[in-house]
Amino acid sequence: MSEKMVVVCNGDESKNIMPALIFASSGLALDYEVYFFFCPAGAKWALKGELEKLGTPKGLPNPVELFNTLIDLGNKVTFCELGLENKDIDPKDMRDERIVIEKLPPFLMDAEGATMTYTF
Amino acid sequence: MSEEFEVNEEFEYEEEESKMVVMLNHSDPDSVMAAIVMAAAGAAIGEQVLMFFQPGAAKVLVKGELEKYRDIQGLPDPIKLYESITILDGRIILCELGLPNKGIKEEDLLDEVEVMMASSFLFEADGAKAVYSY
Repeated sequence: MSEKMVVVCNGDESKNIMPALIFASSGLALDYEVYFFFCPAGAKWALKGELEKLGTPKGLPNPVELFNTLIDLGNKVTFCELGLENKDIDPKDMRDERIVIEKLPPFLMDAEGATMTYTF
Repeated sequence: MSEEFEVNEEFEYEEEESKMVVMLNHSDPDSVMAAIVMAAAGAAIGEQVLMFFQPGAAKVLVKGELEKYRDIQGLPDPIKLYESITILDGRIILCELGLPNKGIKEEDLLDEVEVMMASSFLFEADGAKAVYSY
């Protein structure tokens, strides 16, 4: 069984989301089961059209492709429920219907046993 | 009953809690709230939580400072989260360097705060599987 890796995005700048997605993808490449969490501060990156605004940053991979790979491979991508009210977000605006909206405790219970945790 | 089947009454089964470390080195609301929500959630699911405040976040632990993070739209009350962490045996630890670095007196800190050097904290955190840094 694969080991678990938790990646948390807690900011609305490219310096928050790009390393988060790159670490998550790297985890996938190393056969980790990745648990990705959007905190309220990083909420915008879970919304339609936001990753696209980054384009393909110079020298970096395309964030949309990284995100799609992450979620297509069945890894858990979670959006913190607190972010809905905090950032006035309608769940319909999530960029992918497979993004799970839930509070932290159930996420942490799913991710229990993770051997690596990264926060950006 | 033969001796080999005697029950050792002194033996107590003790379930080992897993440790969660939440580090904070910023005092902006996004960082403080994310860290304290994570710590409270960890404590709620039975983790042994150790919050370590580096000098960049030392001010947060001064009496009256946590109140400034109240009333953020859609987010829980940081005072209640802090109380829930400590009630659930979470530990609040301030890096000793934060006192002189930020001109803070130890008596001005919240009652539950422990002050220690980073090296001592690392001993306390030994074995932690989850480390979240904000």
